[in-house]
Parts: sequence; structure tokens; C-alpha cells
Amino acid sequence: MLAGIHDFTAGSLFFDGTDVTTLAPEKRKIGMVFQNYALYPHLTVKQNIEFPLVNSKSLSKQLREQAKNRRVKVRQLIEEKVDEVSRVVEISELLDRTPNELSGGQQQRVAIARALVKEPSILLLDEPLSNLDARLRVQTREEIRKIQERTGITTVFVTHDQEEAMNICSEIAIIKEGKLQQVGTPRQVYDRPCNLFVAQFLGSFLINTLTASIQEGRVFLGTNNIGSTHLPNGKYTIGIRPENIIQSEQGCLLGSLVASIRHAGIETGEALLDDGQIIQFVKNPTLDSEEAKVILRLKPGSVMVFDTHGKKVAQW
Amino acid sequence: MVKRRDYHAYIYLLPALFLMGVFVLYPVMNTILTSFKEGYRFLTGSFLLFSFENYRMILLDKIFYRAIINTSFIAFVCVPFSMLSALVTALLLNSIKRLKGFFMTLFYLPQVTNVIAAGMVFALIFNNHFGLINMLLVKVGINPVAWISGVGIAASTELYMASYLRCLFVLFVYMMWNGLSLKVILFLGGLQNIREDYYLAARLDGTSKWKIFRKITVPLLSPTTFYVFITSVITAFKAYSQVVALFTTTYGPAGDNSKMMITVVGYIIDALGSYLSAGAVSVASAAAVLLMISIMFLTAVQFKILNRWVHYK
Repeated sequence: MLAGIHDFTAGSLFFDGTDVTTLAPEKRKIGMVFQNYALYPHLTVKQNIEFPLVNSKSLSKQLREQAKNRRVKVRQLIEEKVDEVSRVVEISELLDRTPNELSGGQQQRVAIARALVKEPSILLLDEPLSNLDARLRVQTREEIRKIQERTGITTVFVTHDQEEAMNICSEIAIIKEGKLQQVGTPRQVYDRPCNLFVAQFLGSFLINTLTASIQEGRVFLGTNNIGSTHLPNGKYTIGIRPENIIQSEQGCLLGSLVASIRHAGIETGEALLDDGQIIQFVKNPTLDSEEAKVILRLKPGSVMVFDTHGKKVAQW
Repeated sequence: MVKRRDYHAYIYLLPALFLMGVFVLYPVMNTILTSFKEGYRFLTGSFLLFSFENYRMILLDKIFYRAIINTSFIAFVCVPFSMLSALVTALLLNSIKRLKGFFMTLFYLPQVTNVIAAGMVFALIFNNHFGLINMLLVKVGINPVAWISGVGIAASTELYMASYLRCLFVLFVYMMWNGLSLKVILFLGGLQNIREDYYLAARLDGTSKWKIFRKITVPLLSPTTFYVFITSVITAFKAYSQVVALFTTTYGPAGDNSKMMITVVGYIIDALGSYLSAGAVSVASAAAVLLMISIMFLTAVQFKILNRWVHYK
């Protein structure tokens, strides 16, 4: 919809205050990087990058004007732009190759160069890293971030990989089944989710979702009092991230250890509480790991209370 | 060193190789040999001597040149036109959403119809008295055209040329109808192999539809186009049944005894008609060899010249 391929059923779209809802895709000045790169296989890298400049009617007109103002030939102007953008993505030595002579990461950079060369007002990246292997993904991710910082272009990055999203974005929008759930910085969305879905969606360890009861302003997890609140009495769903639950010598939760799971470098444990619920926490390597009973301490700000609709109502 | 795996492959290939040898290789060699035997008698296999006599006879025969002209017409006029129409049709078919299957079946029908039957129907459509075309022309107010007619052509060259051109037109229409079918399917397949992404990327860059066609569709379709061109020309050189279907075995309208519409294969078949007489089969062999050499030469030329325009991925 941003690119203008699909129509809106409702609402409007504004770029920098201009209403572009009904504007044709080619007039919206959009640079797009596809998941499969969509590099023209019969053209060299250089021809791929200059394709928008050479073949777009509106851009050709702009180029001609610019060339006239600077008293140079259009061809030279195009060469300059291609060179500059190749330098930004660091593929200047590969200009004479064809796409099938490039590696995945290189193809990706060519696709980015092609999107950037027409100086678009908005850069769209459609799962650009899904086709790369893990190491290359991290590397290219950093490169994309640097490119975006250097050029300052508004960039919309679509991904299903939350680690990618958390690392590359200045702002994240979480969408569930087409409905916007929350918008914020990665920190905000992760630490202060506005509903249960967002809380459960993010985080490499699944957030603990437990049932707690509030009586007279005190919150009980089983028989453990984990805090006080002004919420009315009743049963609530609370969420606490495992990394915010520390095994310690003093704490508000008491449970018995039932499982230990090792994830590369971090060991988590599962404790059984006295009301039968299981809570996952991060084990403290300095404490005796053979103990059957564990005492858990909650980090401040880590307990989230959700109502029956999943909306967060309190957090401390 | 023949690896163990290769052994098996060769053994499995033996039956096919044997058949190829008996039914392809041996006949070809034999034909080439026979084409040099002067006065060859088919029944006894005897001949006078090895010479170029058969070739000389062919190259002095006016009818052979008529055959060459007609075959060239089919190969170099009908084929390009039908390729262009097929490409346009395939592009249109590729862009419609519904009834795609219906139209594809429709366009493929000529491939599954019998050539003779189809040709006879076409001859009827173009019939001078009760043909469909003439009836439509009369309705619009134009005088009916004597499409396949040999009236008075023996006498005047003018009338002969006019009749010849009319017959060429009928042949052209038939070849277009026949040639469209397979080419449309092949072009459609080639078009559908071009990923949507390319068009989308070009559209977002503001490329006009014509430029997209020229710079993306045509290059990415070039392997298919190349294949269609080569095979169509080869098929055109072998044209025979279409001509016979339209113009009967005299290769012309009634009243013509010059074999007006004969093709090279028709020439070969006619030479074989009197296969019992001396020299008949050897003349046919010579004509066949000439045909083979022309096709090979032409195909080689096509490969050399057109190869740089074909982009393989």
C-alpha cells in the first residue's frame, strides 16, 4: 500500500504532509528493495543501478534540467550518481558483473543501490535479509543501518525476525492480523508492551504468563506476595520476562526447581510454585544448583498485569 | 577410462542407438550416396555411374526453382508474421485474468486437427462460388474474388501472376492459422517464466509500458523467441501437406499445369512418384540432400547471427 500496488479500503496516506493516497506508484518517489532482489539478470550491475535514471520519464526530465543547469551531459550526470551510490553501498568494483556472478550479499547491496540512486523520499525494504545466511544477515543488517544513517532517508523495513527489527530500527510497529498493536522504540516496545500479544511476541525467552489474584491491593502469585497495587480484587494475568526473574538468596517468590535448560551460555530453570504454575527464570551460577528450592527476586519494573482482554493495566 | 556408471548407460542406450542407426543414420548415408548414382534403378539397385547428373537435372528444372520460391515464402514471410502475431497474442493472453484456459485451448486446437482436413476446409472457405469469404465480401458490397482459380492463366503471364498471388494469400492465411497455435503456447510459457518482480521493480521506477516491453520482456523472452524461430523455419522448409491440402496434388488451381504452389518436399515426393523408372529415386535423393544442406546452413547462420541477442540467465 505504501508503494501504491494495493488499494486502500479506508484511510489516507501522507508523505511529508502531502496526500498521496491516490497518487500512482511511479509518482511517489519510492525506492524499493525486494525480498528476491529482482535484479535484471540480463543487465550488468551498472546497468541495473542506472535503470531508474535512464528509463523513467519523470526522472529523465529532472536529469535533463539538472544537466542543463550544471552545463554537463546527462550521461555524465548519470555516471556521477551511479558512482556515488555504488560507493555508499560499497560495490564500486563490481559494476561490470552480471547479477548471477554476485553473491547474495552483493546482490542485496546492488538492489539497495538501485533503490537509492533515484534519491527517493522513502525507502521500502521487503524482508531483504531473509535469503541470506545468519552471519551475512547480521553483517548486511549493519550495513543497511549505516547506509540509512548516512543518507537519512525514511526507511520502512518489513521483517518477521524480531531480532532484526529490534537491532536495526529506531521505531518499531507491531501489527497483529492487520491491526496495529503498538508503536515505539525497540526499548519501549520490549520493556513496556501495551498488551499481552506484544509482550508475548517479543523476547527470545517466552514471557511467563501466570495467573495471579489481587486481594485488598496485594498481588499474590500462589501464596507469594509480589507487590501491591490499586487495582480492584480479582484474578489477573501477569507477565514477567524470565531474564527479569533472578535466582537469589532473598526474594518474594518461592518455588521448587523442576527443570534446567541450557541455552548457549545462559541456563534457565523452571520452578514450580505452590499453586501449580511453572515459572521460567534465569539461574544464578554462583548459587548452588543442586538445591531443590529456589528463591526468586523480581527486577523492578518487570511485572506486568493484563486484564481479561489482554490489555496492560499496571506495571511495576 | 570407462567408469562403471558409464557402462550401464551405454548398454541402456544400445537399443535406441540401434534404432537410430537403422532408421536414421543408414537412410541418410544411403540417400547421400544414391544422390550421386546416375540412372539409378530402385528395384535392382543398379546404376550407371557416380556423377553429379542428378544435381544438374534438378538445378536446370524450372519447377525446382518454383519450389524454392514457395518454400522461401513460407519460411521467410509466413513465419515472421505468425511469430509476431503469436507474440502479441501471448502477451494479451498473459494479461487477462479469466477465461485464460479457454483461450489457450482454443489457440491450441489447430495443433490437434488433421492437416489435410483443415486444409480442405480452408479451401472451401475460400471457394469462389460458395466460400465463406466471398459470401462475406458480397454482403459488404465488394465483388467476390476468385481465390483459387486457374482461368486463363495458361495464356497470359499477367493472369498467371494474379492467380499466383491470390493463391499465396490463401496459403498465407492458412499458415498463419496453423502456425499461431504452437507458437502462442510456447511464447506464453516463456512469458510466464519471467518473474513478476521484474515488472514490479520497473513499474515503481516509472518505466513506461513500451520501455518495459523492450528492455525487460523482450530480452528475458529471447531464449524462447530464438527456439521458436529456429524450429519454425525448419518446419517451414519441410512444408508439404499444407500445400497439398489447399491445392490438391497438382499443387495449383484447376487449369494450372505448372505446379504453381509446389514446395521442395513436394518436388521430392513427385520425383518419387515414378520411383520405378530409372533415375527417379536418385533425383529425389539429390533434392533431399539439397534440402538437408540448406536447412543445416540456414540453422547455422541463424545461430551465429542471432546468438548475441539471446540472453540466457
